[in-house]
Amino acid sequence: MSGNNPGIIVVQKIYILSTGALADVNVAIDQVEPAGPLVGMTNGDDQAGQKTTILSFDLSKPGPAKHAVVQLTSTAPPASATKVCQGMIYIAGTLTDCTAYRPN
Amino acid sequence: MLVAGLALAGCAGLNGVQEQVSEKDVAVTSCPSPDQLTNFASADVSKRNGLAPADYRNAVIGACITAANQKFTEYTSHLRWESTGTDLGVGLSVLTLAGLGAVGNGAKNAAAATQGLLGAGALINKDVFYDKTLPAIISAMNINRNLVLQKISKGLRESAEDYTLNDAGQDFWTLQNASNIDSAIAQMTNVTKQTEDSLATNIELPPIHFTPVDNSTLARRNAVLAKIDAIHAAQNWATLDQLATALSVAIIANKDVEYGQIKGKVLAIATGPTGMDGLATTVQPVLGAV
Repeated sequence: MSGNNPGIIVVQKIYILSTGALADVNVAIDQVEPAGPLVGMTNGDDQAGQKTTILSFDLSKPGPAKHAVVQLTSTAPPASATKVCQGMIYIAGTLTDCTAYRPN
Repeated sequence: MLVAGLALAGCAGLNGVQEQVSEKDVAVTSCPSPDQLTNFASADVSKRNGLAPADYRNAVIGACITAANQKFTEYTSHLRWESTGTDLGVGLSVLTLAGLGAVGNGAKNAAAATQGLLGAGALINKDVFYDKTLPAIISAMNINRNLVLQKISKGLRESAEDYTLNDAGQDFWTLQNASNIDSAIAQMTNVTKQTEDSLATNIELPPIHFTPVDNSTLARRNAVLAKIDAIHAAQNWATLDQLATALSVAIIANKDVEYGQIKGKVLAIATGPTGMDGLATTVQPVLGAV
């Protein structure tokens, strides 16, 4: 990092339609994280008013070596992983409490 | 940080601060004068032309401020005249529109102003100095002066014991030096810092609808991102700027932000109508074939 200003982040939001499965969310993270780490997930409407899962990535940082994986918060956390974020996102049309972990 | 010093060494005849108020301005040797300070504290009311100490203080400082305001007007007029004349000897290379815009629009609107100016892009050049820098410097001076004037105004409403003529004189000295160019630059630097901090959570790129890509396309796009990461890690700002230009991204002083905006543009183009081939064509002159 150049150290110009560590306080500023450049956020890229990625929409995933609410009908997507958990696997679709993880494919999105796997394909976008080379641009920068996942930093948040939530839900909301896109510009057309469609309900979506919204993933946020910080593009001011390099992509992480190991990509985050989202799972239902109700399931046991993976061994040897660090929690990245947690949020209510759409899984097959239903708002679901999910957590993203990054393998150590 | 975006703003650096102005080099005034080469500017004959240009003062870095307004001319100080003197006897020819208010008919005393300084403002307030030693005699006025003595009169203020005197038990003899006739020394103060019959005025109570607080009223005397207000009259003396009021005259000083009037003269200082006139000096400030003359000073800024002189700066404007100098700027349209010859060399001000100003080092401009790292003074950016972000700082200027922030000051010019006031701290309240600094974030919005800077966001707009980031779009305009680029470090300022000498022409921009004459159009933007000088008004921004004067604006910063006005901000500094107004802060001091507010303090004096508050003091003049207090009792003569709580805010003496000597106290007011100290603040008046500060007022006259609030037109200092160095102070103005410091003010601009501070506002720029505040502006950057305020942007910490709201530099948001246009959202993208996710569309999965095939492995071949993903590998090509990730190769582009890896090259950009390497340029950033090596702090090769000249190449980063070339890439920004190729992708129509604003060149700014904060290279982490520029780097992030470039990668956002890569994602947007790769998922747009021209797809990966369009991205490859766009970045090829800088990054080579991908």
